[in-house]
Amino acid sequence: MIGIVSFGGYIPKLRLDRMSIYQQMGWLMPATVMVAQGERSVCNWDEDSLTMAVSASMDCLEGIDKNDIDALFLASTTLPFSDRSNAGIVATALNLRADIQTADYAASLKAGTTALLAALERAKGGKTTLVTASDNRQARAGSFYEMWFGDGAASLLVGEGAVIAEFEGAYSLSYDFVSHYRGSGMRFDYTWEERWIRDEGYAKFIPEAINGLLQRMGIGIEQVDRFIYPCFFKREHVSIGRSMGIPAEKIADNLHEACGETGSAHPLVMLVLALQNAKPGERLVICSFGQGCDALSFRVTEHLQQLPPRLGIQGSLENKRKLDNYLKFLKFRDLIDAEVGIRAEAPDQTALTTLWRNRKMILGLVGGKCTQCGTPQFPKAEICVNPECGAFHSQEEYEFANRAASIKSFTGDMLAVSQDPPAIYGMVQFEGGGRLMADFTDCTLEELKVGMPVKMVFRRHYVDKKRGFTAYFWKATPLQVAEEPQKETAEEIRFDGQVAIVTGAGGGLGRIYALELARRGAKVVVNDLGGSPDGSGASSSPAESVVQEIIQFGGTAIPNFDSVASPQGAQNLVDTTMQAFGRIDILINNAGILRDKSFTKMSPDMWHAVLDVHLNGAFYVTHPVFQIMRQQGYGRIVFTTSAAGLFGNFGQANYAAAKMGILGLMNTLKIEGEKYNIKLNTVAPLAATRLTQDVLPNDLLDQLKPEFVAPLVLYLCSDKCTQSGLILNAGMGYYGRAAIVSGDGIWISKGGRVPTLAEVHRHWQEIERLEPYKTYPDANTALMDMLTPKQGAQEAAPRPQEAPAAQASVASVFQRLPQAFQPQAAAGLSLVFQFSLSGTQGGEWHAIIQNQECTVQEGKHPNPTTTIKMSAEDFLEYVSGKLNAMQAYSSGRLKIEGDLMKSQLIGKLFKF
Amino acid sequence: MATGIRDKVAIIGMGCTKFGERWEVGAEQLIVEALEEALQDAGIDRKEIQAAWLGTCMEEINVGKSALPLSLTLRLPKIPVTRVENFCATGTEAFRGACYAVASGAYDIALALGVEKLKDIGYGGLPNWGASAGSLTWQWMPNITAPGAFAQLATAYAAKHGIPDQDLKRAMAHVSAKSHANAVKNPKAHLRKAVTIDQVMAAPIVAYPLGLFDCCGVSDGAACAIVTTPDIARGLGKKDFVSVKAMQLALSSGEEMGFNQWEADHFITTEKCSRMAYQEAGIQNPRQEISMMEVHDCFSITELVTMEDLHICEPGKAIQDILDGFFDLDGTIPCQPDGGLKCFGHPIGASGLRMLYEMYLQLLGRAGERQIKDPRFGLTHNLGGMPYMNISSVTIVGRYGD
Repeated sequence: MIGIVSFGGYIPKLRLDRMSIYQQMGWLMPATVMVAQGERSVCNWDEDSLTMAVSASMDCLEGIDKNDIDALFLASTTLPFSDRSNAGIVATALNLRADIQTADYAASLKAGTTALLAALERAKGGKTTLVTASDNRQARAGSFYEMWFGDGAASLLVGEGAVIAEFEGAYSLSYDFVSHYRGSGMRFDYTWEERWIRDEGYAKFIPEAINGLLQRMGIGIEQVDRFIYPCFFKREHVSIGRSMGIPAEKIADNLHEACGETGSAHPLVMLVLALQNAKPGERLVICSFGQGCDALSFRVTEHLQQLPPRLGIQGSLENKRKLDNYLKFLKFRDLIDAEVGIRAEAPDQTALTTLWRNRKMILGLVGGKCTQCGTPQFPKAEICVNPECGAFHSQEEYEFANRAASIKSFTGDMLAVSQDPPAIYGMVQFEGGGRLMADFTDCTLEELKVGMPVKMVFRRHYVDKKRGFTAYFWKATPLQVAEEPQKETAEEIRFDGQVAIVTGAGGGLGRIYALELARRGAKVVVNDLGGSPDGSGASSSPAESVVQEIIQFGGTAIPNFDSVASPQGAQNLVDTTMQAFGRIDILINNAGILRDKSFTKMSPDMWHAVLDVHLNGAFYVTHPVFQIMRQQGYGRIVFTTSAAGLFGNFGQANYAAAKMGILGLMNTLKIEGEKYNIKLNTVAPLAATRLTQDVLPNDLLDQLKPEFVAPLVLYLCSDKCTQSGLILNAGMGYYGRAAIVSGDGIWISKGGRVPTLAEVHRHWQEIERLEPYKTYPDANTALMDMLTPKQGAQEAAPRPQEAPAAQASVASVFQRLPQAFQPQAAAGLSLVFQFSLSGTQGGEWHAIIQNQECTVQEGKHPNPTTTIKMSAEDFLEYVSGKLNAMQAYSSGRLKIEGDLMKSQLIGKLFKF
Repeated sequence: MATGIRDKVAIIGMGCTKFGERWEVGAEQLIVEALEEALQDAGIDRKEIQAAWLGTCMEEINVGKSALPLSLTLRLPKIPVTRVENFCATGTEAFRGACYAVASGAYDIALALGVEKLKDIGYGGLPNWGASAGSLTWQWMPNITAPGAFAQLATAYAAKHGIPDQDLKRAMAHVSAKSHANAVKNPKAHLRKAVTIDQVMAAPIVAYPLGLFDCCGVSDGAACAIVTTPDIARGLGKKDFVSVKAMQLALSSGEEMGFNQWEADHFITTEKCSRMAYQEAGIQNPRQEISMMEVHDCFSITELVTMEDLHICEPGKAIQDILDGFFDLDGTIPCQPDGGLKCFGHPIGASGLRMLYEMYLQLLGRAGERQIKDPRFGLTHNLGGMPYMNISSVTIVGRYGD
C-alpha cells in the first residue's frame, strides 16, 4: 500500500484583515471590496517560502525517524534561489541524511501536486519522500491579487506501508493556458482578464481532470467524500463543484477568509486541513490548477488515528496574530522604500566557505554533546565548554531545533537595525543543557518574561540585496496557544434558573440569542412561525431545529409556532411558557418581516403587515409578559429597532415607522416598569440575517454575523444590566449608543411675546443646532428643562442621562448644598428648610438662609420655616432632576409641613 | 610563584584631553593634546620615552591598523611601539604593556596612550559590525548592540533576585544621576549637565529596560600615562608619587555563552579579577580599604551589578547601597567622581587610561572641586565585550610605599 504516511502544515502567524487593505487602498481600486472578506496570512519580515517549508516539514516529521527519508521535493513558485538547490537548504535545515535526492519543483501553481505525484512514483519502489510545497506570494499594493493571495506551506511524507491515506489513482492534464505568468527576473505576475481565467480555466480544467480521474477509477461523484481544489474566486469555487453535481457540503472550502490562496502549496494546504478532519474510510479527491491540473484520489486509513498530535493547517490557522498596520505589511514585503539609516550599511558579505564548514550548525541548529561529561553545547566546539571538563575533540552532533527551551535574558533594542523595531533578542536556554544568544520573532517585547518557554524556528537571518543572498538561521518564538477569546470564568454572566422567550428565533439573530442564552443556563422558548422573509407561509421546522441544537449540547428549550402578530398567538406563547417553566425573566422581541416598496407603491396591506409583526407583535407579547414580570419584581426585555427607523431608509416607510414606534413603547414602559425592576432596552443590530441578505452586498454579509450582536443583547438580558431605556447599535464587534437628543435651542423672546417668522428665520442656525445636546429621562424633565429660561445660552453642556448626584450619597448632597445656593435669589429672605428623609440613607438636615448666605447642619432645627419629608432615594432623584417636585407632592411621595409657599423657593435657591 | 607588580611601577605623568564630540579635531590632535599634558606633568622630554603602547579599538573608522599612527604622529625616534586592542578594555591593555615593560627592567620609561575618534561614523552609538564581526559570528549571532547586550543584565538580575522592574530602574537612575552630578564639577567631561532621577526614568528607551540616560556618552578623546620604576621616579625628583598596587585581567572562557550555569545577571570575570587584584594589592576588606573607584559604567546596570562583582556589595544588595548614597561623591566609596563613562564620555581606547587619570589626580590632590578627602587606594575597572563574553580588568593604585 502506498500513500501519505504523515502530514504537516504551516500558515504564518501574521494575518492582515482584508478590510484594512481596503481601508488603505480602496480609493485606488474600489472594486476590491468585493473580495475583502476575512483575513489573509502574511509572512513575517523574516519569513519566506523556504522558512515556511522548514516549519511545515518539521510539523510533518513529528514522530518520524528522519533516517527513513530518501528524498526531499520542494515545490514553490517563489523560491529565494534560482540556482542553488532550495530543497537542499531545507534538507540541511531538517538535518536529513546527505545521501538523499533533493529537487525543486517550480514554475507552475500545480508544482505541489506534481511533486506529490513524483513522490508517489518513488513510493512504488519502496522509497520515502518528503514533499513540501510553500509559497510567499507577491502582488502589487492595491491589487485584487494582494487580497486573494496568502502565504503558507504544507508537507506530506509519502511512502509505502502504514499509510494514513492510500493513493488510489491520478489523472493529469497539461495545457499552456497562460492565466498569468511571471517572466524570469520579474517580481510580479502578469495576469489576463479574471473572467477568462475563471470561465475558461478553472471552470473547465478542474471538472475535466476530476471527471477524468473518476472515470479512470471507475467511480462516481457519490463515492467521494471530499473534493479539494483551489480557485480563489469564492463563488466560482463552489459553482465548479456544483456544475459537476457535487453537493456543496463535499466541497472543501477554498480558505479565502482564513488565509487566502497559497499558490503551489494551496491544494496541499487544503488536503492537510481535510486530513485533519477526516475519518478512516473517507475518500478524498484533490486537484490542482496551473497550466493544467493534477487530480489524485486518496482513501483515509485507520492509521490516521495513530498519528501524534501536530499543528497542521488547522492549528496554524488558530495560531494567529493580527497585523494591525497595512504599511507594516508593505514594508515587510519590501513594497515601500522605508528609511533604514546608515547603521544598516554595515558590510554584509557571506563567506561561503564558512557557511559550508558550518552548514549543520547554521542551517540545522546542530551543536555538540560532550561524550566525556555529557554537556550539550552550541556551537559544537573542539574543547568542551564545561569548565570542570574541558575535554578535547569529545563532542558528537546534537540537534537543538526541537528541544524545549526557555528565556534566560532578553531585551528589545531600538538601536539595532531591524525591519520591525525593537530588535528583540536574548539568551535562550535549552532543557538538558546548551544555550545561545538568539533573535526572537513572532512576538512583542511586552509579552516576554524570563523563564518563559520558547521554541526554535527557522528564519531568514539577513538578506544581502547587493549580492542576492538570503542567509538563514534559527530564532526563538514564545510557545503559546492560539490567541483565543478570553475564557469567561469568574466574570461569566449566566442565566441559570431563568426563563427566556425569543421571538423569531428560528434563524438569524433570534437563533443565536436562543442558543447563547441556553448555553448559559437559561430555559428558552424558541418562537418562530417558520415563515418566509415576507411573512407568508408557516412551517415548524426552524424553531424545532434550533431546539434540537440546544438539546444536543445539553440545554433546555421548547419550540413555539404561534404568530406574535395576533393577541391570541402572543397570549398562547406566554401561556405555553408559563405552563412549561412557570416564570418569564427575559423577553427578546426579535420577530420581524419586510415588505419593502417605495412609498407611492406601498399598499395599506403592506403597511399593516409590517406594523402587525414588529410593533403590534411587540405590544401583544410584551403586554402579558410585563404583567408577569411585575408580579415577579424582575424582568429584562429587549426590543429590536433598526438603522432604517433611526435614520431612514428608502423603500421602508412601514418598517421604519414600526421600528420607531417600538422606541415609543419602550420609553413609556421604562418609566412604568422601573418600580418593578423591569429593565427594557432596544438593540439596533447591524447583522446579516434572512431579512438583509437580499439587500446588502454579498461580500459584506460574512462580516455581519449575528454572533457579534448577541453578546450585547445577552448582557441587556442579564441582571448585571441595571439601565433601562437605552438604544444600542451592535454589529461586527462594534457597540455604541444611539439616542434621541435635544439641542440647546434658543429663547427668541421672553416674557410672553410671540416670536415673529422673521425672528425664526434669523435664528435658524441656533434653532437647528444640536450641540450642546441633552438626553432626557422622561417627557416631564424634557419639558421642564426646555421651558425654563437659562441664565446663559451656552451654559448647558452635554450631560449624561444620569447626573452625577444620582450616584452621590445624601450626606454629600447636603455637603454640596452651599455651593448649589444661588445668593441672588435669596435677597431679603430669612428662612430655615428642614429636610426629614426616610430610608437607609435618611436623616435630618436643615439649611439656614440668611443675609444671602446658606449654612447647612445635620439634625433638627427647633423652628423651621418649612419641613420637607420624603425618602432619601426620592430626594436623590429630585436633586438629580429625575423626580419632579410637583408630581412627587401630588402623588404623595413628598410631604410638606409649615410654610407651603416657601417650599416653592427651593428650586430657585438651589441649582443642583 | 609570581607575586604581581605591586609598587614596581611608578606613574610620573598623565594627560587626558577634553572628551566629547570633537568635530574640529582628528586622532592626531587628540594624541598630541594628551601627550603634551603628560610630558609637562612628568617633566621629561618626548625623546626620553623608550617604548610605547598604543590602544585603539575601532581602527576602521579611526587611525587604521598597527602602531604606526602613534609613532608617526609623535615622531618617535625609531623606538618599539605596539598597538593593542581588547574591546573597551583597550586603554588598560596599553597601560599593562607599558607597566610590564618597566617592571621587567626592559625599559626605563614607557608610554601608554589610548585614543579613539568615534564621531567619524555618521550615526549615533558604536559602529555596527555586520560581516566584519567575523565570518562565522555574523552568520548566526543576532545583530546585537552594546545597549541590547547589557540591557539583558537588568532583565536577568531582576528575575534572579525577584526585584520589581521599577525598583531596579530607580536604582539605575540613581547611578546615572550621581554621575551627571559629578561631571558638572569636571571641566573635561563630555556631558556636564545635572539630571534628576525622574528625568532619567522618563527618558526614551534605547534597549529595554535601558533608557537614554542609562547609556554612556559616545565620545572622542585620548589619555596617556608615562611610567617608570620607583627608583627612576625618585631620581627625577618625584616625591609621594603614585604607584601601581595591582593589575589583573580576566577573560571569558565561553561558559557564560555555552554552559548553563551563569545566570546572565553579572560578570563572572570581574568577580575573579577583583579577588586577584585585592590579593595582589594586599587588601583584605575592599569595602573598608578602597577609597574611591572608577568603574566601567558603560550602562547604569553595568555599574550596579559590578558593585557586587567587585565584592563591595553582597549579591543582590547593590540597589540598597546605591539608593543609600554609598557611592555618591560624599558617600563612603565615591564611584565615578569624574563623571565616569556615563558623563566624562567613552572614547573606547582612551577610557581605561582616563579612569587611571582621575585616580591619579585624586591621589595627588589635584581633583579640584570634586577632590575626595585623603584617598588611599583607588580602583579602576575597565571592561571589554559583552556580559556573555568579556574582558575584565581591575587596577589598583595608591601612593608609593603605602
